[in-house]
Amino acid sequence: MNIRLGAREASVGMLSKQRVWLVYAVVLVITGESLFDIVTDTEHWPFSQYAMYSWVNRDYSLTLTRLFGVTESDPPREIPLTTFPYLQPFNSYRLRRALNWMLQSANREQLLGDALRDVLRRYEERRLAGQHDGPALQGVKLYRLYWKLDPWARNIDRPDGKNLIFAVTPPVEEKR
Amino acid sequence: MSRLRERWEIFWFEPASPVNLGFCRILFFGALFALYLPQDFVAWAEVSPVFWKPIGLFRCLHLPVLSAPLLAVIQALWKVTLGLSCIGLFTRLGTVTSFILGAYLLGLPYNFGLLSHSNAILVFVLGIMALSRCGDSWSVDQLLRTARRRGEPSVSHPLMSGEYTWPVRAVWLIMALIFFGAGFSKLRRSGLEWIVSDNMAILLIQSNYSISGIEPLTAWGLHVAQYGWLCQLLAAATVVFEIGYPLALVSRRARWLIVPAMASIQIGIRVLMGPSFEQFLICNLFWVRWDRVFVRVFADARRMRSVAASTFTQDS
Repeated sequence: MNIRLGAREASVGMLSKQRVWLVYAVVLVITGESLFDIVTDTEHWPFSQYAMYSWVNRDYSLTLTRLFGVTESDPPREIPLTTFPYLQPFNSYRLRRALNWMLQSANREQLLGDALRDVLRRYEERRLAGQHDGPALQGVKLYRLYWKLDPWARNIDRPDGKNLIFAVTPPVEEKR
Repeated sequence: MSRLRERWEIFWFEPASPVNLGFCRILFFGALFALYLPQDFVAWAEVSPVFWKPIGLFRCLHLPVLSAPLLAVIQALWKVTLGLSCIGLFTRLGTVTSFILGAYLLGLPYNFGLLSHSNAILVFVLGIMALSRCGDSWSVDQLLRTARRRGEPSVSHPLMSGEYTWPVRAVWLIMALIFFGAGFSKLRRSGLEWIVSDNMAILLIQSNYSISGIEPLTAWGLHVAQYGWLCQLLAAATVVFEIGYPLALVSRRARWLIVPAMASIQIGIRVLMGPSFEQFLICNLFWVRWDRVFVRVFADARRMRSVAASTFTQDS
């Protein structure tokens, strides 16, 4: 084998000097930025420190926020909005994370109101377009749910705590 | 020092046949085409701006959410270029375009409140393939070149070159950095408590409470969670293989252990906890020496044919 960094490319398939340095530049950028994010515990997409699941859970409990839709039936029911067809293009995890950062914002009331109305709007548009078979909704509520974990998850539908954080209903004009 | 330099250059530029990289191209772009063909990015254009929280690349370049019609065009074009790159037609144009459009489309959802970690590796690999000469073999482009320039052996049979080594090694490096980062993050944030506590058992149970947006394929995680020692063993294995993944770059024996182990862990996560890592599993194809697989398969086929022929001759 004969790699000559200073040689011009020849018919035997050696890389040119420029080509080699291009490869090294790419390697340097990828390695350097990746290590920077790992060392500083930050993310600069597409680079990341890949910190998913890195925190320790010490308590057999679970607290999370979840959206519920309020049906137009009489009496109205609250149905969990967790399935992808209801929330598309979000999934429940991505939407929950998005709402959580709004909860921590100074103008959370404004942000949550706009966000939940948008979820409701898209839900209804997709329902009317026949893209899911969910019931018609008159509102959306954001709850914080708490469970003491059951070893076999038998209480998944019966959280031990349920606190309303925010709720929206569409204006009367939109309902018509 | 000169020995170290030589090993470094061998790692990146050891002359290799273009067959391996060509087949990696087919499988990689073929898998992406199959994975993303049904996916619709247009719906992101209809999401309220209240959710818009631009991430790194989008913030730096001030990239907006494009309109729905434009997104529809871009996603169609991207899927076409994935297909073209797979078959190796207009390979350079296809791979470069699929990288540029892919970086936008794959990154777009992450501007809406959640930095996820599954698609980023694809952006890197698309970029590497765009810079590489992955269309030199097993491609329609090569067939056309051969037809146009008959009698030139270097066209019909490209010469061995380091050009067909470095892209594969670059993908290896990316995977090593990703998994090392994941393991390092666990130890930095939580220390050994991540392994020796009830953490894994709690995670397995929580996963069955619809937390990740993707349900686990089975409820086996609840059974595993009943055995503390098993959960700690799984946690230890996860961290060991993540932290140790860079060894696969330099040791063939480590490669045979670490790469399949990490792939198994990711499959296990899908089965027990929910989150899927198809993108990472696809990139594992770069660890396979497809040229050696072919040699082995064809050699076996030739051997079987000669055995069958000699058996037939004896019978007659």
